[in-house]
Amino acid sequence: MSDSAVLLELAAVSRRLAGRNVVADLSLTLAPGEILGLLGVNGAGKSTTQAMIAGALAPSAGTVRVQGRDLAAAPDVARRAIGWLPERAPLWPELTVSEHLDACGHLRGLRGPALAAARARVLERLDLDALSRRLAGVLSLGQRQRLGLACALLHAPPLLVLDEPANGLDPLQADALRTLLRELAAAGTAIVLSTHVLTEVTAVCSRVAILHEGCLRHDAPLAAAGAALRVTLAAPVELTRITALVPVARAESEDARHVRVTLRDGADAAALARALIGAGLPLAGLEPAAPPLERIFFAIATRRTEAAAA
Amino acid sequence: MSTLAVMRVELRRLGVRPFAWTLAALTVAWLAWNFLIAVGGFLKVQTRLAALPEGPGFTDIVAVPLLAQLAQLAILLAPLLTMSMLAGERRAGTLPLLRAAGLSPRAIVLGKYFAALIWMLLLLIAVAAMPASLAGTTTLDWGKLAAALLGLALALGALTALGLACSAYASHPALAAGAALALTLALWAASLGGSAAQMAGPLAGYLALPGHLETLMRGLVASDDVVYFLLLIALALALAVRRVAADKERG
Repeated sequence: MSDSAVLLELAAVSRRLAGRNVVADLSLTLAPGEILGLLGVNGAGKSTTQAMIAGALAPSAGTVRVQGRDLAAAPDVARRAIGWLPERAPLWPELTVSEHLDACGHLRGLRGPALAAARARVLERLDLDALSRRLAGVLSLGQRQRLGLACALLHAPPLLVLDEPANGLDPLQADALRTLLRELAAAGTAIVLSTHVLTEVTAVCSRVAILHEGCLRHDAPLAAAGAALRVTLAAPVELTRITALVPVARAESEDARHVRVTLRDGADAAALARALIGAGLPLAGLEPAAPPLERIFFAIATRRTEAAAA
Repeated sequence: MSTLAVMRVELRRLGVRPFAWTLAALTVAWLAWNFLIAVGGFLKVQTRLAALPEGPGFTDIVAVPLLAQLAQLAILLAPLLTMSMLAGERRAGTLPLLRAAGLSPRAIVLGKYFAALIWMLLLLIAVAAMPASLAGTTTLDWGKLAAALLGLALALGALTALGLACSAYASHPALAAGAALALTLALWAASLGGSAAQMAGPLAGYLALPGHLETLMRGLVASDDVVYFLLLIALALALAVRRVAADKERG
């Protein structure tokens, strides 16, 4: 990735709290239009990392650069370039939804007609029009999340940092959120999305980073994982026979009766079944395999449990 | 610019908070009642006072005591008004939002301070309007009144800054109010009783807030009194800025 294509850069960022490294030596970059899914178990350092990216928390070591500028040296970059939705969307309860957006706009330097236009845009986009005169303190969890997201989007920042944005959203709103995130990314907005819901990551993210005990354990494009299926055979077969599946899928034998396959572009489950039968393999079952992301996540996350047990 | 943005947001929040309006309404109502009593008392002794060559006038008997009462009420008002400005924000998780908006700790603290100060000064104007409304029917000593108003404005500024500093250090608004009240009372009582002041030395006498305020209330504007209040304001705000800046480092 060339320097000009980098919107966000974390260089050896660490954060110490109460004598321990909550985030240790974290380095990653993000380009415009990328959606990075930030995964990790509770306490892995996701929220701390996001707070540092948003400029709300100073790193103990390392630098956070946004648009090539160090956030510590130029905090004004955060004002115009970053939109942040922290976990549980903190709000001022005594202000109405509309007043809240005005307050956030003022803090981000928006004034007059520009503020009015931005407010109307996010109210409409996040379906908050009907709630514009309601006090923030009486909103439901899902409505709070939408207002928090509206505040983060108000100044149309090129970098969005979202911590569990789908918290409290119903399935329809969660789907609308995914559509919104895809649209924003298509328009060039870079997004750091922290969540515990793996399906949310697979639905919208282009890249996944997994944090564990403050360290970056995995950082790769999501597309590389692909869609996987698990084939169960009626009887054990020789491993060499699965090479017959090469035209439709990449196959990997789990044992003599189970094969894990990743479909190639244009292939579907029916084509795979035809290939299996055509190769004389005794097909007994075909089911979605645990997604690779899930396997990677569990492999990383369970290390702590094993270490603790030992 | 950032300070102005924070101030606007904070004023908006104060403007829609029933608690702030209740405090203001109770204060104005209490002082209006006392003003009416003082005017009644003044009318009774007015003719006898007129006979004295250097006798006290309306300003000494009604206006300045009324303003002095506001100063005493401010011991309670300032902590209550400022208690949640930083401690409450920290508890609600909205303080990081301000930092994430690229606002410096100084802009955050000054914005909140000026908002609270404007609210207090509006109260002062409302109270000062009571004796001023009788300017057409009585003789006001405008010089003395202006000095008293300056003193009171400085005292309100100092108490507000102390309240904000306590709010910056406290984890809960109630603790902030308690700490600000205790600190203000300590400053108020630092030189209570001549013997106590002698025992504590001249420092306690200098630190005592009423000594500096009384001089101004008598119509005497001394630079050391003005400097005392400005130093108190600067020190309290500097401590608040320091604490808010530490939040970003500590998390």
